[in-house]
Amino acid sequence: METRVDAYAASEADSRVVAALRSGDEKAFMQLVTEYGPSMLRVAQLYAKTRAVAEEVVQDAWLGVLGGIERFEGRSSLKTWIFRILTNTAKTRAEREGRSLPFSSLAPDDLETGEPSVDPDRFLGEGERWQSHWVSSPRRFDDLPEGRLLSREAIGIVQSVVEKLPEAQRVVLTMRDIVGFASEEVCDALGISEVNQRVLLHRARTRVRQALEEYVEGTDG
Amino acid sequence: MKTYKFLCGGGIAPFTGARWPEPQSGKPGQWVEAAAVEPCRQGVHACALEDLPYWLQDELWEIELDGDVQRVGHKLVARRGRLIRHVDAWDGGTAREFSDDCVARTAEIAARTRGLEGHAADAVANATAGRAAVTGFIASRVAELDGGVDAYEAERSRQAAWLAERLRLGA
Amino acid sequence: MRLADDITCAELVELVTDYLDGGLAPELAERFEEHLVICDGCSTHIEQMEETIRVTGSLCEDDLDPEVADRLLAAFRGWNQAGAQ
Repeated sequence: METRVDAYAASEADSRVVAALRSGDEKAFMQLVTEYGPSMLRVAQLYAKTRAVAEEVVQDAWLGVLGGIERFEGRSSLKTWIFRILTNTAKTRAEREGRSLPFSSLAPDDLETGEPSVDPDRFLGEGERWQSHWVSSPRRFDDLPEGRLLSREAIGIVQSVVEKLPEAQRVVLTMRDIVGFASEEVCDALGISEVNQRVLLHRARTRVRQALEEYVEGTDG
Repeated sequence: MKTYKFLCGGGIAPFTGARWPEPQSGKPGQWVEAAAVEPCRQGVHACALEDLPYWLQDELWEIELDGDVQRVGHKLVARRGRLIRHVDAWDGGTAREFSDDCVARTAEIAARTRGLEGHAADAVANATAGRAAVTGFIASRVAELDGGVDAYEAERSRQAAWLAERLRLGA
Repeated sequence: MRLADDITCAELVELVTDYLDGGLAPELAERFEEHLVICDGCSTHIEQMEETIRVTGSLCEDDLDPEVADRLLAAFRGWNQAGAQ
């Protein structure tokens, strides 16, 4: 498993990009924008009422990045720094518009014990020699013909499941697995504890996994 | 104390999927740092002789560990490690011998204690399917069901000693 | 694993996210791994989870809207000019 976001200090590559920006290198800036822009829009949309507002937030965030680039010290990675500016910009805008932030207060049922992650029927029952163990092994997703899982259809299913997730789960899943924030960064941005964050992430991933499993089993002969 | 590491076929770490650099021309493999290979973990994982039965996989390697080595349950954790040599004696054949031995132990206990026939059958099925670790586990579970925790530990020790001898491993 | 230390598959599937995040206490993580060695079902379940995470991760391969790109380039030029003065 790779950590997709470098939560550590700025790398050499980061330093080169920062130097390029400071010297007015357009290409470097556009490369940065291309790389992070789409993710930034996804995050902004978690806070903003409309896509148009989200786009404005991202634009403002980039201006904030340029405005602050001389002061960037490299104590965090460039990406972390940029996304922090983004979430701050998004929060400020949301507050100004009187919008409640992504679950500024967690709804009571967000954290209560939910359903089991896997249908209990998949496990052996009481009195069995291997009680609570799998009745039969689940099937690997990659038992499919080459490339099946990354088919448009599979991605569409995931997209659809994500859109229908309860808000708190959707936000955490988006930030962790779609955009690639590290755990601490998500907790920091959302003001929730590590434990809470993980419960929400687990529930969200569970739903997506179930949907993919159904798809895999359904489309197989 | 010699330390060991089991890898899946192709030198792949079982839990992280990372590929371990192998020894070349008699020289140890490259050092692997914990953070680089196993970012979610606290360190490089290995085991001592007595832990072997818990971690059986396709390949057995002798590994050198560096830095503080801590024990957590049946595994060792260190900041970094490098593969020293492949234990050629551990292969499908010896794994099957190990399994057959565990099957025999299980059958022995099941023969004199009621209610364990199912476990005995499970042991046979897993041995046939080439699942040495599972067979070893079943033998240990049956020992415990029959004779309590002490019997469990005794069976695990026996398994470790069997491996040490059969594979000619030093302590 | 001794009976007293046993983790069942039903328990393990509730802990997968914690495990993948390095959030399990070391002793529990070790027992979790001992279980994986002897359980194809749970190993496969975790693989499914990892594959799920991978597919979710591929959702963000959107391209940058060219209009947005133009606006940002203009903003950059404006910032650059202002700095040069």
